[in-house]
Amino acid sequence: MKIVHYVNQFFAGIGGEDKANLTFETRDSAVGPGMLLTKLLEDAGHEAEIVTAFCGDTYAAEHVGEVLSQMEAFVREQHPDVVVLGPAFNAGRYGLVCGELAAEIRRRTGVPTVTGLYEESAAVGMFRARALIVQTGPSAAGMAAAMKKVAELVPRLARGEDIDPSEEEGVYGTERRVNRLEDEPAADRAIDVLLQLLNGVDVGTELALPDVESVPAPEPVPSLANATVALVTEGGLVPRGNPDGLSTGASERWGSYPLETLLGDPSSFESIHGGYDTQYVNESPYRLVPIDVITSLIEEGRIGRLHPRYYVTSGTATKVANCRRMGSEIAEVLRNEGVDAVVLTGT
Amino acid sequence: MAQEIERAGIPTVIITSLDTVAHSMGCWRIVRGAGVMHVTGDPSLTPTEEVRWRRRLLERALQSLEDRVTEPTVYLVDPAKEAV
Repeated sequence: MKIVHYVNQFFAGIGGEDKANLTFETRDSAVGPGMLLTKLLEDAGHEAEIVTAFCGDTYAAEHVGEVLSQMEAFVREQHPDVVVLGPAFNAGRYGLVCGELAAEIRRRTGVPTVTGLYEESAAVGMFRARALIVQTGPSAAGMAAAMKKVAELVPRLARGEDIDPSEEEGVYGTERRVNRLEDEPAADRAIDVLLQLLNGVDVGTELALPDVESVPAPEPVPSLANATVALVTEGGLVPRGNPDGLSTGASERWGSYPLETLLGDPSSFESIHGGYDTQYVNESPYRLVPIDVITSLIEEGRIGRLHPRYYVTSGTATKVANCRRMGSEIAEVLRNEGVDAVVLTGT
Repeated sequence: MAQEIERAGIPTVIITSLDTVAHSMGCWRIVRGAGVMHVTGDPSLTPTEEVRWRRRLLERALQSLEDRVTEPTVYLVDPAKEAV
């Protein structure tokens, strides 16, 4: 069978964050984890030919449409039986791109696709209904286990098997409702349930509604000229030397530092974020925390007041639960300090 | 984090290049930034042009804070140039 495999610049062996702007390239052979996939398939008695496409994470995330077109063209030219994306584990940009490619390439070309993501990845929620996604651990340390499941699925997909994610172990369910015909009409079933409830019997529910987290939209600021604005960032900007020892990622703590110092001496700050190439922000921190322009806007009266400290953590690979906790801790401080509006910058 | 600050009733605008993530998470006010590595900057511009661009970005962000939004909304700095 023939497989087209997509990876990023790191798994292609080209480089790390410094090569994240690499444009789309292809190779006639398996690369990196693709070689493991080849071996697993051959060990199971399948002949496998793998060709590879790869791209830098930042380029791909910022040019999704182009990468999709190039990938589609490559897939049409190669006539694979299956397209494998990643796996991307908990990687932010790479995960998004793998999810998008898995969904769109399948939709556009009809070729079955499979990818792999960690449960905390935003891409799982975004793509689980449209793509087959293997459940993986948080990092490439779990590559062997993830590829083992991928290698088990690939021959079945190549045979044309219709895999139901909700019935398959080790894969994220779609959370999509599937219609089925019951023997009794809904009205009869509803009365049955009601009678049982009246008799104190809890029969559960036919349909479990998903837990959709939604926060009401805050009211707009009536007039920013009379408001206090605060700056928050998940881009990891801290005073040089990282005095509070904030993590480069998988964060559990946040810090806050004076904006006056950032304005007066930007070179005394640096980004310790482990998820992107920080050279541009280190050259000019206003590319992440735009205090220069905010200060001008205050001087002109467009904004009333600036909250004197900014709030920071490093967002990469940070658990959603910790993001929520840190967010609510920061929110409490801001509310107590009478902040009216927040500008939050994310990488 | 933005959602938790919004939950406290404080209008929040998130400036990010990964606006699809913010949108799918249900953040209400989103401005698309200039790139993962320099979300409120653009090293391909001269320093003066960059500050001018940053200004337009922030003005878009402030506009979103004063707008009433009824659904998660992505604001673009240059709608004519940026693909949705």
